[in-house]
Amino acid sequence: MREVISVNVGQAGCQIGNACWELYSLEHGIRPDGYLQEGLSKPKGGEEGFSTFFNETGSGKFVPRAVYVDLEPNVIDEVRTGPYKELFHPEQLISGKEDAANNYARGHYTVGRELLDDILDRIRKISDQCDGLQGFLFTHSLGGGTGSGLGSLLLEQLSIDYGKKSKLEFAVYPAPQVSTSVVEPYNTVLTTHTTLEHADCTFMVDNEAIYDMCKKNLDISRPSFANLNNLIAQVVSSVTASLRFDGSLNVDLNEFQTNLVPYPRIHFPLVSYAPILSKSKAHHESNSVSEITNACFEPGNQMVKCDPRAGKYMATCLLYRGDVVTRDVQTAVAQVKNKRTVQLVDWCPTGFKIGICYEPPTATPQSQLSSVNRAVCMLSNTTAIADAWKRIDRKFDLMYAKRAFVHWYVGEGMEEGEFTEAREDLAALERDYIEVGADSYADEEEF
Amino acid sequence: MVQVKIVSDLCSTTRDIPLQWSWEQLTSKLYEYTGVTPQDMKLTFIFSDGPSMEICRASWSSEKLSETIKFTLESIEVIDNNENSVANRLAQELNGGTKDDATFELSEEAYEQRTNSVLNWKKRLQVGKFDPEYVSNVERERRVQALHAEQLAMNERCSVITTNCPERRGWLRFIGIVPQINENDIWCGIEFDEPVGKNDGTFAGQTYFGPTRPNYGGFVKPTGVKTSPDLVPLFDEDEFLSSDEI
Repeated sequence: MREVISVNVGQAGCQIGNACWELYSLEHGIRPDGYLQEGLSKPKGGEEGFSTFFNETGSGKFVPRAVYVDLEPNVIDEVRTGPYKELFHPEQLISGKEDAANNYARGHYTVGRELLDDILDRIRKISDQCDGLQGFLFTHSLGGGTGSGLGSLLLEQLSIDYGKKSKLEFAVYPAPQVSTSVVEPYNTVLTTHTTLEHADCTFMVDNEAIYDMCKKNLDISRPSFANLNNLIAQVVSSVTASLRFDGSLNVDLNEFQTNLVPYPRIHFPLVSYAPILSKSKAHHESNSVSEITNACFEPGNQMVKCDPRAGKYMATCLLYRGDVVTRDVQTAVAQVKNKRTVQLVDWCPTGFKIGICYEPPTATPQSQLSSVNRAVCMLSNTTAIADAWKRIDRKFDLMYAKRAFVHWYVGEGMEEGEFTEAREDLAALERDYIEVGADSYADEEEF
Repeated sequence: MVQVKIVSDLCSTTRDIPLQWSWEQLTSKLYEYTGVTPQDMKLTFIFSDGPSMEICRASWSSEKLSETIKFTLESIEVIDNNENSVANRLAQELNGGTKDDATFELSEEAYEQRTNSVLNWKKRLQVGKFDPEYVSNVERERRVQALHAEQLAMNERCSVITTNCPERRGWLRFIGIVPQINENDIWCGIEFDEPVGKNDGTFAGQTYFGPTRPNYGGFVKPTGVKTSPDLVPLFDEDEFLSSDEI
């Protein structure tokens, strides 16, 4: 048994959690009330795989190994009253009364800390139901107060309580078009600093990139958060598919770190997904293994806006699902390796790791994404992702130079020194990425 | 409770706004999202089924929103009336890109002193530039480049072949060191026949040849360059002209 506990924190984290659990339930044949769909005698995916994410109770009900955490009640109340209300044990859904006011300090030090014991108790109970806990899968935003503040507090605590168990994150990176508050750059820098040594692997999702995909690829003229989260869930599902389905060419939770992270701080792989097709376009595409593999190298399929052609690759995982044969994958990977736009770091070993899960992706009924017989999710550790840090660091600097809104944080008992400490750490992270890309014999060829 | 889009210069977000909130509560929440202080706020309410409404007050009352708001609220635009407010100055800098001297710089020494850095890790593993063979490899590469450069003819026709790019042709206009790139390497400055370069012969403010038309110039490594009077332009200029005339 290799169980994984999902921890969804804050508004974005909980809403992405909802989209994910809806998808997982559909994929495994579980009804919204937690019982098997009619006609099934056991959940889809095989005993071993399925039980990584769901716990079976004595009465034949399947309960997600998950906690929902938010400081204000609204979002979690929607789960409590929504179509999936019976799927979860009421104690898995933890909400407070007073929100974090988009403030990292409130999530981390004051309001959030008051909920900490309750949350850790609940996680302890869920982990007691596991035979061999692999680790944790976080979803949270970097820019909000709860996701950033309480999310990082939980990651810290889980490091203390569960030692070396893997901790993976899906983290929503702030984007101007859909920015939730003016202090997002502060929250992002502060939480990244706090979690840098606690998270093993962080997959960032830039809301602006997802927004553009919904508009361009899925023909949604005004994408809502529900649209964005559906697409994110599809990606999370692809990443976790090989953990959840037996008979996959398996990728374990800690294997993500082993394969993708050469040095602990450099743990932010770029995620790409293909195909992203609307129902009307899907019929016109052949969607071969080589096509979808190539599509992963196109900027329009990336979850974070950056330019990988300007960066260097340290490692790549290609996670296929659906109707895929190994031979086609080998051919596609050989093509990719010959691409001249794919530059590798030449002083450290780089590799292509392949995962195949034979279960095709499922489209939820309300999703605009067409159902396809195969898809691929690419996780690549590239130095290009440092662009994301540069953007947010610059905004942080503009604000901090004026000490704009710093009093909101100091008012919650946070020391101003934490701002400079965090910013210095992020500057070092930017330097780390430069250092990874440096020292090639045949460096930049042209200026 | 209604889902309302809130837009200001620095934020764009959709939030639940309960209409039983007072004006005071609403404006202090909007301050949290937008950074605009309540006394400087000008609010425009946009309704899906009624005319929009502009409100601006010195102080906000404890009266409930539902007393005033009778239509279906779609969005609220928050404008900062105070030109010198923090939010307004930030918006100007972020959108207009005024020159910022605010950028935090981590000094070379401060970075070197950090133990948990990629730099120190490379040192420990003796990889990259800390690989004992690295220096000799770089020097060998540099000698190869320099030797090759000696065989090139200045102001001669040339062909340029680099990775990622089909063959390009042009004139070799410069051979030498470009200090803004690095201290030691020899570079070839090319005036291309077509706008397939990265500059006009100028790098980091210093003009090394030309200036050519924009993007007709570029600097490449000598090993990618061949010179010979036979290297005519890849496209036939006459043919282009004649077809234009037709």
